[in-house]
Amino acid sequence: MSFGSFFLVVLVATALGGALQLAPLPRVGPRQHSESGPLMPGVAANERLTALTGGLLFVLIVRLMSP
Amino acid sequence: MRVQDWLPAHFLVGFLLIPPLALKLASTGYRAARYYMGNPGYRLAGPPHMLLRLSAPILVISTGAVFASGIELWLFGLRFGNLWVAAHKLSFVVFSVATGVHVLGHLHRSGEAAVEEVAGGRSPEALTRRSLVIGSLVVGAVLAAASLLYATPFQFLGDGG
Repeated sequence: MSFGSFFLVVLVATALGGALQLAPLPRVGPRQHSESGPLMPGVAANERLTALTGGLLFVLIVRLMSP
Repeated sequence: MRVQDWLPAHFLVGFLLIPPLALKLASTGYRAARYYMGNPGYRLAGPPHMLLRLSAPILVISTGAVFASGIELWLFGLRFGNLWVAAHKLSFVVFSVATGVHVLGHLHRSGEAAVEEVAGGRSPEALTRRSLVIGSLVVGAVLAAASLLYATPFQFLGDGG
């Protein structure tokens, strides 16, 4: 892959992602997912896995960037 | 300390991070997909704050760009020019800023979720999650070790690459 096409893919993917995130969504929930509160079991399990993996990555990156 | 002295460690760390990063992207992507597909549980859980929703695509794409450009440089060195070095550096700068926003935005709730996970005991679901996280780290270590079998042609030539 040439650098030009790599750059184009990055640009298009970012634009598509941004457009998707900006798309209007009905507010159906009583909360935002960064807020505390009860979650359905599957959602809570997903949130915990994401938090664990994110924590692991954070610790690894911080630790490895400190000589 | 010269940059080239750090390169072997830099390559190893990069490969070590790939599987945990893939797991994180898969887990977060699953949640986003379920939300956009209208799953009631994920809809009720609500979306992230708008700033985090807008920074998420930048974070995901810059993460992909950091690793793709890094692997390209590891595989081919400077065969396709110094632009790949610039892309690697630039995408890392964008990645760092987006990561800062992401971490600060999720720190509180993710901290709570991690505490809930630890306090939740050893249910089969918790064991599955922990196995996935540890497994991704083990696969990363194997990948990093396997990368030593390939002699990368990349040589750091100063600020220009």
